[in-house]
Amino acid sequence: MARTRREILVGGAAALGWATFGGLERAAAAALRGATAPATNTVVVALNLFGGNDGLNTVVPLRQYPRYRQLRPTLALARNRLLPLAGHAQDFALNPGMRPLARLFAAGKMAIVNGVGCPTDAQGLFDHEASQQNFLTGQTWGSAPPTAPSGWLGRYLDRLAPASLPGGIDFSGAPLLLSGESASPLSLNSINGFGVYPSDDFEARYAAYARLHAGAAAPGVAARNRALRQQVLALGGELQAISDGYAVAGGVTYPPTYLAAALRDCAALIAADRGVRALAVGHGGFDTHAGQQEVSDTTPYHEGLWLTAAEAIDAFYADLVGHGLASRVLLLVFSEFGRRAEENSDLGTDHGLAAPLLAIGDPVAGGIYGDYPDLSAGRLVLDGNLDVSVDFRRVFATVLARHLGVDPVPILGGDHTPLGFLG
Amino acid sequence: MIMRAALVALTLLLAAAGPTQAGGGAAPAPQSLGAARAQQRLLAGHLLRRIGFGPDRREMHEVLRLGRAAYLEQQLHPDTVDDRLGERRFHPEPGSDDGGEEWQLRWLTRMTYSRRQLQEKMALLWHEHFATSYGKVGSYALMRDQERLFRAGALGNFRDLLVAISTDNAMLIYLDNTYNNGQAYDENGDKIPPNENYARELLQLFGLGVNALNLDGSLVLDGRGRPLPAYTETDVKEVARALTGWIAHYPEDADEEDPSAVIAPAEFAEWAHDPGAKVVLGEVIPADSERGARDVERVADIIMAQPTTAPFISKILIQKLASETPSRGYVQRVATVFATSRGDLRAVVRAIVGDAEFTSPAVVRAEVKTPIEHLVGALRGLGARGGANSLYYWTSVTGHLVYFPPSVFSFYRPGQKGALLTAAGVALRDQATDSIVTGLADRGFDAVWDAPGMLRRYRLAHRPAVAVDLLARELLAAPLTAATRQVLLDYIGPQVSDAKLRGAAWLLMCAPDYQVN
Repeated sequence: MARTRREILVGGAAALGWATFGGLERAAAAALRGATAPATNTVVVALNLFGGNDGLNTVVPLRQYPRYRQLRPTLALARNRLLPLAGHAQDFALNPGMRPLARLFAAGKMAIVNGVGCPTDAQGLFDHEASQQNFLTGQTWGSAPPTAPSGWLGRYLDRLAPASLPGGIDFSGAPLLLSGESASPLSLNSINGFGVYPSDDFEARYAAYARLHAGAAAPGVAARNRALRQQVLALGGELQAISDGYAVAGGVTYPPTYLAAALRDCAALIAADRGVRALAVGHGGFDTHAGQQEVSDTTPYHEGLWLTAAEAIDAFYADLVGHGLASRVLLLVFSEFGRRAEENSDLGTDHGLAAPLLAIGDPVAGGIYGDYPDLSAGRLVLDGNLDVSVDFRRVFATVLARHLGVDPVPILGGDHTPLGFLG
Repeated sequence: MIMRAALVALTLLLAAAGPTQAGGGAAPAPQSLGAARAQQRLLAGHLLRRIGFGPDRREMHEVLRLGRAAYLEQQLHPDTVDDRLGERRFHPEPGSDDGGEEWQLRWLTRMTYSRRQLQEKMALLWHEHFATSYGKVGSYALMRDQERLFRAGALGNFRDLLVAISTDNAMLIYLDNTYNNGQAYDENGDKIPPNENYARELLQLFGLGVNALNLDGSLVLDGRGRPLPAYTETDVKEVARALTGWIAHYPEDADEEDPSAVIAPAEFAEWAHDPGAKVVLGEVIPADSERGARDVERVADIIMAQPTTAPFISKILIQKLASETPSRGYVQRVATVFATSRGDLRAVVRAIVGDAEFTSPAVVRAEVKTPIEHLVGALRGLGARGGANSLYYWTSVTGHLVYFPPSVFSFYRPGQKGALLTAAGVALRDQATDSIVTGLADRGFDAVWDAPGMLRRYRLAHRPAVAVDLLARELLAAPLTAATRQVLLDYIGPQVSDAKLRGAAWLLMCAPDYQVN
């Protein structure tokens, strides 16, 4: 019995025979492959590291190494295992799990923005939920937002003309980032197998299903359900065709992880060029209160998280390059907060403040931006935390102004000086 | 078997033939009898959807027979409900050679077949509230013990629940409070701070909430109109100190776990407890080097004494059982009961369900169904059998698999069931009901719906309208919209074949009518 269960779990929709259908869609998919995208359609992919990434063990400040060791007697990464950063070997080094990212940095394709965070007088600073909300909305309402918050990328999407696919597609489970006043992102697990394909009496049932959702529905929950099923009807076939028709660039292999699968879908959607301009993917497990360096499968826990992320990003970037799409795409890697400077008694770190943020891709002017927070006792803030040197909204203003080509002021509700990481 | 089928048919006929009880108050005028009966059925279905996982024939009959208030009282005392018939249909408990997922299957089939529907609904509610994942705990035996804790304490006292969950093995592991050492020092002799993970979530998510609340659930504001926090960062650190010293028991061999193993409760180690005085939310917990284990009870008492706790917990319970957008008055009435009864959950649930707002038009059939409510409700409405594997698979892909909340923020946040309602999610729900009505045993989906039996018993072959109305009666327990009814009739055509009956049932469960709870 357990085996059956595992089989259907592994097989997923394919086990139901739903993922394979129609010659028509396949023909459309074949046509897609020939399409070339204009280079002006810029796209942002946001990678949300859920749980609060330990920035201090991600980009290690070598000039403050003795103090770092003092704060982290057991969790400090050994100097000889750290990955040097090309051109900054005396200043900073990366977590050993980030090897592919060290290569991207050396190639000038990655910017590190140090000291990014929410202003320290905001509310809910150490609370996952409020801090996620701050990063997704680009606001600092903290724990008391207005009733209908919108995401900073969602407010950008509001300004775009409608296209065949929604402007925002979410694979992260945190669609707020891409939800605007009017823009409503499509939330998916995968572009493969999304749709409704009744097992029996297919044509009659499918037609009746479409009719059920064509008319009006009572306002509220019923109407929302109807609208979602209209999306399923309208987009299921198109997304399946995009998925079936997408060929990963030669020589590129995505690792077998959820994050990599989502990034592969992002690449397919960007290549299809049907109006998708902002995508969100997620990678969880960064809430390292305990056993942060506990070794499983030869890799310490936090390093393993980065290894998964770095390998997926590496494949995604190579795939974009292979398809000639890299100049259009910016990948932004962020987390809701960093972690406490000092380790706790459980070989972990508690919720903190500032942390580095990564911007990756061909549009990026690689290098180091922002001041690394001072770790000395007198310079830590709010009871032992890394101070914020770069207001997180300056990063978003940079992306809006320099990559997406829109005025950030109305979107962010204020003037936040852009940084130089997009040239 | 024939006997049972005949009984069920008879029950249905009786329910259709007229009111089976006199009820209190004035008898309705003859011309409104039909309308009154429809209203009774609507509210009976409403009660069963909210305090349980939706109507099935037996429970529908029970509510109509006893009346809603008496039925609720019975459900509030689950030990008085004879559940032997339900238990026979639970997935069996795993033996030592089985996989631990068997416990999840057992829980899913309990939700489906137990007659103690409220107890099961509350057990799930507390699992959602005190979210703990096997993904980190790594032991099904410990998840099972926590599930039992939620079932046993489902309708007990909230303060006791706080103490029990704070010292529960699975929770100690999930939020890192096990081996949280209050007497650890670095090489310079300075104290290493304790782990704040559990302390923070205890205050933020489990007991108190981020913001100070008035009794009606509205925010307490300062002079500048900003919300006041319910606790400070210092309170988090002080609670973390108070809860040091607890050590979880793990199963002996985590890799080859015996899911039937009996695991000892967590232990308290005085040597790992910080014995100093703590100040939590303005209350002093005095220094004590001999009875540190009592600190957890003191913390629970302090939380219970906060004015914010009653509206915070009451509102969450209302949002899960009644309405995601309750009026302030509703919250205040329930929170008053919470406060005066000092967290008596039976009294609180009685207040929620007994409130006039519970049966108001803004609440009846106006809420989002969670995936579990959608799918367990489908099996109950159809009168299906089995379904353990089906429920396991489909609740997994729709993000609502018990023992696997994605984070401590659970499957969805209170008041945000809508987050589970995505385009991908509704497509999966419709795929799930397709697998249930079609019967795809060869592909591992083990829900069985006896469509041929229904065709035969009700002689539906030439009566499409009767078939549609019967399906609506069982699955919706509410009036069917004319538009949906017409689509179903057009789909079936003049003859109700087995395939058409199955298709019509599926379409009904995909229709807007079925999506509202």
